[in-house]
Amino acid sequence: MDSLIKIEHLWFSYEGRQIYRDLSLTIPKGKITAILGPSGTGKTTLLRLIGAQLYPQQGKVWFDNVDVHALNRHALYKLRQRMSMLFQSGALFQDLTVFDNVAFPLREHTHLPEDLIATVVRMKLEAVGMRAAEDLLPAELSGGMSRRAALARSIALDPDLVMYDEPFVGQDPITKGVLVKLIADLNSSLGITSVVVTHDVKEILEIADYVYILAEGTVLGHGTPEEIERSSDERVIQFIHGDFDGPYAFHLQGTGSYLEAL
Amino acid sequence: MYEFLGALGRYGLKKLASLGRSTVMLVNALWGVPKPGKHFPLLVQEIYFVGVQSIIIILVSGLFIGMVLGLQGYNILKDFMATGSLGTLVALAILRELGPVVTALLYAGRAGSALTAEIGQLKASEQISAMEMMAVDPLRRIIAPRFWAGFISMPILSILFCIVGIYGGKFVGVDWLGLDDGIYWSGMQNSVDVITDFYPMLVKSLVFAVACTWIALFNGYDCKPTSAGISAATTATVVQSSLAVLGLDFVLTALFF
Repeated sequence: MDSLIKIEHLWFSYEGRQIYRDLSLTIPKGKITAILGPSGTGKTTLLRLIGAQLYPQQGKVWFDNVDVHALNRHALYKLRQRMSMLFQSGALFQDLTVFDNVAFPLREHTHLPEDLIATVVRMKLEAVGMRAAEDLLPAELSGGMSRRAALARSIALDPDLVMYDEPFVGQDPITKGVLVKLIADLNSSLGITSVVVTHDVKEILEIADYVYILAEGTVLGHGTPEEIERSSDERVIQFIHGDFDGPYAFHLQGTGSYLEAL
Repeated sequence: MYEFLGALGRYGLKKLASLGRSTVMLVNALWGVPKPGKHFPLLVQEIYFVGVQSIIIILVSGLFIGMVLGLQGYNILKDFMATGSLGTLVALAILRELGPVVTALLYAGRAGSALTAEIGQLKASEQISAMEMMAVDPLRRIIAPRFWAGFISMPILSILFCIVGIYGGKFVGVDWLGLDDGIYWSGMQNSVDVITDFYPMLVKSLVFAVACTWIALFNGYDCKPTSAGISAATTATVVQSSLAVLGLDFVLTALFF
């Protein structure tokens, strides 16, 4: 399997809390890889480690055979032109219109004339069904529209990798369906590699080529969606089916006894 | 005792680390050749935000401080039959101290706090992270133009403050209390010197500009990305900037005069 990202023996802690212990995984090139796991596992942190916004204590993250954490500032910013991230909030620039948001990376990184930039921006907005909203400000958009506008911006430079941070959170079923279709369509039509961090098991298993389930700082299970659904690991089964009871307890583990506290 | 020393050490190390991070931020922001086509419009926009939009508060404050100085000065000098020195008193007090110091304090309260809140909000809404992931350096795109805008605006605001303040003193001393117009201006002309009074005012305002803008930008950039974090950072900006201005003013006054 040809890989775009390779994570090797990654150890990462933040504010005294161990997030990852000896994490290793591979993201295949040109595929949709889903990263699943309970809340607080550090899935978003993993995306930030891949983008070198965070640095691990140990281990390596390779992007197309380049160690992202060994790069100097200039080389890192050069490499980031090949990757993009769709943030949970959309992270659109609030003082710019949708059009200017999508045009932003093009104006920063290319020397294209303004009329050509306008053409590219409209193509990207058309691809996510947001061309009619080009003059709107982010404050005038719904959550789903913001996500789509941000998606148009994230593909503006035709990156090799798009990382989606919880793209379905807070969306209605129709918008979820639209986003699922967009992620799948963009992945196949642009030939990009997609990494989707999410809790929405049902939606992502429809389109993912490969799935990683993270918990307790390491990989709990991985495989194709079919392999994951057939898994015999009780923790994987509990997460996939959203079972109330199982290896993961309902109550957070405390130090004292409930009876004594009463 | 050991606990106290330990806490003191931890506090010192924390502050030292913070100073280090703020220096790294500033150096990275200002390092490298600016691209005029991209950076000049951003600079103009920020000068409008931190400079032009501060003009009203600076003019009004300068006018009232000059008027108060004129009134107090006239009443005190009258007892010594020295009202002829009112122009000198107003001009020197404003040029040497009140102009740069009050301008910097007002700047910290109006523009500095706004800079911190704006950058904190950009951070909380992940716009800074988004910029980083788009391979656009937020230090060059966000921090640098705001820093230079403060550096350019503050001396101009100080000069405006001084002009209006001196006229404020004149309105009270000459137009209201009846001091001779010629005496007011000639006293000032005889005692105020460009090198010993005007240039130190400019140097002070430049130093205050660096201190206030740096503090404001770092507090915003380093704040916790929550509403409480932004609120704390904004407060810290006003408090730290005010103390820095007053402390630096003493050092600079000792050096210049």
